[in-house]
Amino acid sequence: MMHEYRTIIAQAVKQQWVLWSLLTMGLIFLYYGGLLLVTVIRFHEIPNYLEIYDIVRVYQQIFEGTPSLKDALQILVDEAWVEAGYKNPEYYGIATWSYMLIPPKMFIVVVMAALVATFVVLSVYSRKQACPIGNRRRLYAAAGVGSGLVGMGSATLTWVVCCATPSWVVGLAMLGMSSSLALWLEPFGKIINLLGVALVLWIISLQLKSIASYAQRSKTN
Amino acid sequence: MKNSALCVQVLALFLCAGSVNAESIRIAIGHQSKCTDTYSAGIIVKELELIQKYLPKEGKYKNAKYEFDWKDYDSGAPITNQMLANKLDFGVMGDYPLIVNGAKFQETDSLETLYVAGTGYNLNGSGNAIVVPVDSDVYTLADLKGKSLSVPVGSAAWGMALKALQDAGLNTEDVLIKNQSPPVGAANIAQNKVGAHGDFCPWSEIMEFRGTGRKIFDGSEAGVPYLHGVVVRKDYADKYPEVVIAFIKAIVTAGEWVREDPVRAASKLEEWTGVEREVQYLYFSKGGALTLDPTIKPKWIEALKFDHAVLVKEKSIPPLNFDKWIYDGFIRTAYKEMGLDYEKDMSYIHDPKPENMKLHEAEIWHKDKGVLAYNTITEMLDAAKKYKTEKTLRASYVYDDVTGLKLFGNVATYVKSKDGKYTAFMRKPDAEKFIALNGGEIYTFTALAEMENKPSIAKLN
Repeated sequence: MMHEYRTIIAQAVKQQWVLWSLLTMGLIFLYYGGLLLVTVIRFHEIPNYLEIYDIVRVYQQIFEGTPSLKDALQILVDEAWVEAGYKNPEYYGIATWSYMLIPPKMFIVVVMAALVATFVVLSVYSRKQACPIGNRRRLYAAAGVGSGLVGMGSATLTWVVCCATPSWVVGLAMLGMSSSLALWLEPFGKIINLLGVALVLWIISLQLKSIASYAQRSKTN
Repeated sequence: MKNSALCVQVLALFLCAGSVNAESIRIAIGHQSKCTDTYSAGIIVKELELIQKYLPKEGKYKNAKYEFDWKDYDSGAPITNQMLANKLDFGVMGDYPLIVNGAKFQETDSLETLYVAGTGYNLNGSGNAIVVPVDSDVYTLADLKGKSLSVPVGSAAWGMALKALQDAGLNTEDVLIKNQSPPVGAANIAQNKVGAHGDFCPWSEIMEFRGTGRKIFDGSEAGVPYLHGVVVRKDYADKYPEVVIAFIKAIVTAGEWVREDPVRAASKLEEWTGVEREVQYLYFSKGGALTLDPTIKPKWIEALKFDHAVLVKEKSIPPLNFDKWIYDGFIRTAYKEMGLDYEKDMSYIHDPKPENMKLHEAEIWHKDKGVLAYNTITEMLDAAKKYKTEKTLRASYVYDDVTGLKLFGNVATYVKSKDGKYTAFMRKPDAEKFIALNGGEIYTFTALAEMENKPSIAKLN
């Protein structure tokens, strides 16, 4: 079964590889661009600083200074590669907010973008095969919810009010959620990301199941 | 063959020994140049290059090359993250972030920090405060019912605000708590966009100095000591204990440098940090809010344990083994090597009320004449009026009659007794209590300074 599913995905992606690549890249850019845009609009402040860190050197430092691999991995997931933000000149140049690109969190976004792109090319593939797949609108809605959850759980913003550490709940606090509720929700970040990915994986599996059984029926007929 | 192998071994040993001697030792310190309490282990040590004075140069450090990396932060939390990532060896921060630091490190399998020295304290907790817009009708915490209070969540000021609200019989349903950073909170106070803002020093004093905010609650009222300190990664301290000792010696020297000439210190600190010298003087002058004492006192350990309990309740932070975390061995050695008496300093606790009442009643920072001391508030007010007209008045300072804390003269509330003597208060309710017991009338600084033949307009209703 798994082999069959992999073959369907490979065929669908191969047939629509331009669409798949554009969608994956586009979603990544859309997400990070949107995150920055929303922050700029929220604060009415254009970023006035940009830092690019030597992330390889940073990871090296973490591994050198942390005897436990488990600890090292937990520490490096919050290390930024790129940071941009606004330093308030009226108050001694303190960075009031910043926007970060953190590789492990970017990886989740990339995975999600690839999954959503796969979902779309499978939809196109099934249409071309004239394969009936349940309620397409519901599937698209579910994909939207899944990617929304990952988008929310992967936001890498900092705000001095949240003690200047990058956390997904900073996005919620910036959008007006009370800080107590936002901080209460903080430990659920990983679960929200997992839920989002699981939801998209589930709808992809539904698509694959429909396509595979349709192909089976076609062969039998 | 044997000989050549031996030669290789000897050569390898020689090269290794050489590399140890020529080892590059990083000294990476995370500090906060906008938090006055950290200056004696931060900006002063950095700018005066004080650690360099005490760094070991003998034995295994003979050819060591020291590389300094000072990093400035807005709060303690990112310092902890950078220490975890091995980008910083030392961190200088306030009591609540210190506790989070210790707990976060102890939560890992392989890392720890040590709390090795203090940087400054205030016995009663002054240093955190709650400020309202200067024209607000709010004078007490009770008046905040139904209004908003912004505070940087997770900071020392946040812990203070929670306790203060609890003590005032208010809960989070009575007051809308908003999470705001120091600059955002200060801007919102200036624009009257928030009911009150809780913050750590020097932000409340900056607002008072700029004439945008007025304190309604000072951390001293919470009665829990307020302190800042230094943490170091344990692996670093184990490897380079002499460097940790050198850093602590630098902290002691920084404190001496401030005490030697507070006006010079305030002026230099303005140059280095951008925080106005008049605000710096409020902390670092004789009778100022900060006590630059790095010793680790049993009372501070109790205060930190209290703070940890608050954080556990409010933020579910991990447990912290204080016995493993607090280590006074380095500071004791530093004191001993500097010929200082650690026990004496450790057992002394500066109480501003009795100590500051021994000082001149008021001071003025004159634009050209420097700091001028006055025996009575009345004399200071007369001089202030004159200098204000001449536009040579930088700032004025008095002491709160209740706590003994140094205040800006322009934001204090004054009571003029029947005998014509003025007494200064930080809070209006305290002035009212004083009047209820002793009689007298309440005045504000502006009104007093402008008062000539029309005293009626000076009264504060």
